[in-house]
Amino acid sequence: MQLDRYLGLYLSETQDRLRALNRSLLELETGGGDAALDEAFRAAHTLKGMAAAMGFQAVAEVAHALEDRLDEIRAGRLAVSRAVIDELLARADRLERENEVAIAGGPEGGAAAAVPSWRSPPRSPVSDWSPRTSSRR
Amino acid sequence: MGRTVLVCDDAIFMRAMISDILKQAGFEIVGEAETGAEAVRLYRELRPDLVTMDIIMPDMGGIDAVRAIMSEFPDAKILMCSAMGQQALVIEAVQAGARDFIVKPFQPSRVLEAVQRVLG
Repeated sequence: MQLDRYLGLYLSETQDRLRALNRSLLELETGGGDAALDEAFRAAHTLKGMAAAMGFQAVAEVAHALEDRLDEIRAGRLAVSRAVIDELLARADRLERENEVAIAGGPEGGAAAAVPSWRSPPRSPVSDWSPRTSSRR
Repeated sequence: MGRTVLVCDDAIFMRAMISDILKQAGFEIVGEAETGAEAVRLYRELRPDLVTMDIIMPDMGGIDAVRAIMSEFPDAKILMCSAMGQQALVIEAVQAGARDFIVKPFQPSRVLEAVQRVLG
């Protein structure tokens, strides 16, 4: 499948979704509640799906981890706090950077990656995430 | 006469990719929906042979849209589109009436195999 033909559309759409993600996280920071949370979750989910569709495995994994984290909040397993907001914003920043790297590399770089690790059994939510460590397990 | 498809995903990028795969195989894309509510409305209007449905969308998610469509049109043929880590949601979608699912990244051959299974 010739993925490079979708790169322009991928770029513009991920930019839109990243803006929406950051906007909703900032709303969450200022007490945005469920609406902001749902929008952030959907943005992370859509970014994950688009990255996976392009074969950008690293981007998809970062988006997946962010989606999982947001889902923990939605499910009431994690409370929104200053520390959690900072973590979410840092994850969104990392997602944006990974996406820029992936786009610069083009679909060939993504396609040349190893067999996607997410095809194996579901992972447990990230419990010891740090912005300076890899999300790969 | 080509078989008709309604493509439902809130990302233009995803709709374009799925549509291209199906068009190249001779399907006619008769509609595109960005939300679950729009998917239900367009199904009523268009009565497509096949629906491709993303699991998570704004204004009624994919699974609720499947339930709504199936309650009115029990013969509807819906193919769910999922990404990593959505096994539970895929199962829920199938229990709601979706016939099969495809996973991103889309490999055209696998997409078309799933479509053939759904259409019978």
